[in-house]
Amino acid sequence: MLAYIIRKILFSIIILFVASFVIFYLVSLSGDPLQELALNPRVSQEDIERLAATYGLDQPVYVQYGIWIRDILLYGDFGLSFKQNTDVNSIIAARIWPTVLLMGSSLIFTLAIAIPFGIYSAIKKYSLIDNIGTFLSFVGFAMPVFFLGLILQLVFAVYLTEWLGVRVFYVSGMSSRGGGVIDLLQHLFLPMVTLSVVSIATFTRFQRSAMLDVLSAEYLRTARAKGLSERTVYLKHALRNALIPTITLIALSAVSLIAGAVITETVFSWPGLGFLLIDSLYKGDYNVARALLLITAVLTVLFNLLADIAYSIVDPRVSYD
Amino acid sequence: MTESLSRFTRLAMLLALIAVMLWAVAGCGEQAGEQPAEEPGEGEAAEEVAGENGIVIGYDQEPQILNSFIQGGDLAATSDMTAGILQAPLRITPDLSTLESAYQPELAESQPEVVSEDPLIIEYTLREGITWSDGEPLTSEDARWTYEQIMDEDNQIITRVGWELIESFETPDERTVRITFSEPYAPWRDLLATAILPKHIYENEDFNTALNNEIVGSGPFVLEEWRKGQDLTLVKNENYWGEEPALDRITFRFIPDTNTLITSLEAGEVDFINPPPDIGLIERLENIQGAQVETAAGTTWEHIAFNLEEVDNLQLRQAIAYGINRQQVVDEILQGEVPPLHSILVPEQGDFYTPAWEQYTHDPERARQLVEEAEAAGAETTITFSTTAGNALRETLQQVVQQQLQEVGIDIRIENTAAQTFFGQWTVEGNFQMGEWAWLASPDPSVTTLFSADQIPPDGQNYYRYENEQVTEWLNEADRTVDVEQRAELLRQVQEQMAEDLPLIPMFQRPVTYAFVEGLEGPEVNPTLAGPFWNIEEWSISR
Repeated sequence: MLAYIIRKILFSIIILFVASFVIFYLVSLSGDPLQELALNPRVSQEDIERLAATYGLDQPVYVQYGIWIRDILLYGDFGLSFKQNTDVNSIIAARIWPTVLLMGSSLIFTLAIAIPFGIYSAIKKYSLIDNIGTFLSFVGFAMPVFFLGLILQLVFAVYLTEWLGVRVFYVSGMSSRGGGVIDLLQHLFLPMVTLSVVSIATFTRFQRSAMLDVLSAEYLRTARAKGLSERTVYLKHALRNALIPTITLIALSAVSLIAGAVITETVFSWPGLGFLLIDSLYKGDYNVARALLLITAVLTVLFNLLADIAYSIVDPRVSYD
Repeated sequence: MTESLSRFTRLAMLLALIAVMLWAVAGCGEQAGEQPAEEPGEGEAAEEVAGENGIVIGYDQEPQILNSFIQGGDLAATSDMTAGILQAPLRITPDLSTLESAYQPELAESQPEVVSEDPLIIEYTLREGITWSDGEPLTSEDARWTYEQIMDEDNQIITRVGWELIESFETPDERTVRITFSEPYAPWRDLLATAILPKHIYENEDFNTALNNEIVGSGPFVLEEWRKGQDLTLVKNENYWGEEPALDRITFRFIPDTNTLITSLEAGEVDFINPPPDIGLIERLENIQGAQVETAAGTTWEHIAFNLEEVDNLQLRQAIAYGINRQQVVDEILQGEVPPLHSILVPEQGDFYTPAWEQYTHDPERARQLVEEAEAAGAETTITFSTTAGNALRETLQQVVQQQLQEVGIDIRIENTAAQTFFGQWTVEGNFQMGEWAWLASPDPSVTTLFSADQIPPDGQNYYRYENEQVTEWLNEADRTVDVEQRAELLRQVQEQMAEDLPLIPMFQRPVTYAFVEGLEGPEVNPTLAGPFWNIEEWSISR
């Protein structure tokens, strides 16, 4: 058992090393971040070479990688931003809170809708509500996030404001200057809904099938046979068991939410990590982009590792060899 | 019956729960939205943020840093954010017809004096009584200190072009600056249009970091707050030496997505936007109720470039020039908003410009003939055409051109890549046959680094691999000719010769478009890199 876990951890470390090199190399393949300066006729080639030397960009890629990975491992230092002349760590730190806020509220919103609805659909399988739910889920799956964002902006920020004469929701940004909690919610609502739609669709379907599995289980028949009320059967016996797979899905999808927020954050100018990733790639701020990609890789591997270990402890069918 | 009733109850409860959640959020919002309506002046949203006498500008890119001298400060965002804060001896205006009108005195009392042409000596006097925003006087010593920062080896300065030619930078008294160049340098005005920084604040600080997040200047506005990822706010400079600006506060809100930018104006969240040119943009802006739209041809010009090592047959290049219907191209992609461009300078540059490419009218017959001649001489008529992927304007242009050239017997293969790769590798390494991109033009007409034979990469930006000794000589001579008439003559010769050699085909000037709310007065399209906020102290708002 211990050997199994150690082996899993070792594998994860190797995967991360390979991933870190691939990330570093692929990002540097996208070109020299300084060459765009050359589009300005007032910048000479010597100017560009001089700058490349100060940032170490004139070194071969493997040397640059070596320095980069050494600083991360020894000092937890993701290097210097080419564009902002400050350390990458502080740039990223400033963007964590908005992303956590958006993700967290979106997750709560998703679960608050998906879990009751999924359970209801399973209990009333093939009823009208279940069929409507199924239909809406597929619409939700198919809806491109950027398109949904644009529609919500038009309907809730432009038309609604015109109609009511007062502003309820904002199109862009996270807060007004000097705004309080209410102002924050006004900004948060549209990106949160946009980000939630696909996951509501996923979670509803998932919760529905998990509940259906449980409903056909023998222990429910036992519960009913004991003469418990339907209410007790559903809420005490079925629901608790049907939530277990959902909790696993939440843990695993936490990572994918970071990537999923890229589009939403960009459409709504939400100052989070996804927005930062796009912005840094666009502006050629490679060290920022590399740090974000590496963090995503680490989180993915970490959560998978935890899931593996948890399963090996919980489920005796998973082999240790 | 009971079964169906309970089903109904549960459904109702579920819906009620969702409704309550929606209402809770929306309801909170309404309360907040109502407050400003009680204040005098209508409850305009942008006003909520900016105050009664302030405006919110929707801006498509956040600056990386505020120091425009060093690496990272090259984005237009940096100079636009600091346009109201920093000032230079000369400022760039939209009137490019003569150099005097394009570069007008700002901190300088009057137009600089050319004391001697060879050796070139420039002298200017600073205005009397000008101060920094902290009240300290702004003197020639600050100008000298700024120059020293540019030349300091330890500073990550982006460009020292021109500055390197300064032999001595003298300050005979507090208001006079006298610059002597080691060789005549015609674009000297560009150096004087560079901001002056306050020595007394930054002299003991690290130039590479001290001005990144805050900056002190002498302009009508001062920086109040920069909320990273969100917005940057300027407020009126209480110690301003000049006429008091009409606005109290300007907030730049960063909205990179063009659709969201336009929707923000539509929703009344911002008062002013200048979105990048795009297909159908003007139409969309004009449909916004209560918005004013202004547009003009900019000084950034798009063109089709040839790599002369690949497309070395002149007849083939002529065939392409005659085969492309440039009017149709601008009609298709910009609804004819700007006319086709006929040179490597822009008409706004007055005497320096000559429409040398005008001779290439659309003539498919002649193009077909030239293609046949080129084929007989062994030229390949299948050509790859590359540009930066993801730019709708350029990609549509490619398709229109592809179709037009197909009709004259030239087969165009489109092969694009990301901007970083295109400019970072393809153009530098000559890994393209025909390309499409834009050059940014400063009001000064020097184009030597683009077309001189000694500027072929890695030495410069002559991505065309264009080698014409005569042109190279004229270009370099023009840079050393301070006399405007003579310089214009040389540059017109360059344009005529290049139109014959055809290393490129100019296409159009990118339009510059502003859209803003009714009641905002003052925005005047400045097509140069000086940007929309060159006259921000003259803007005013009435709601």
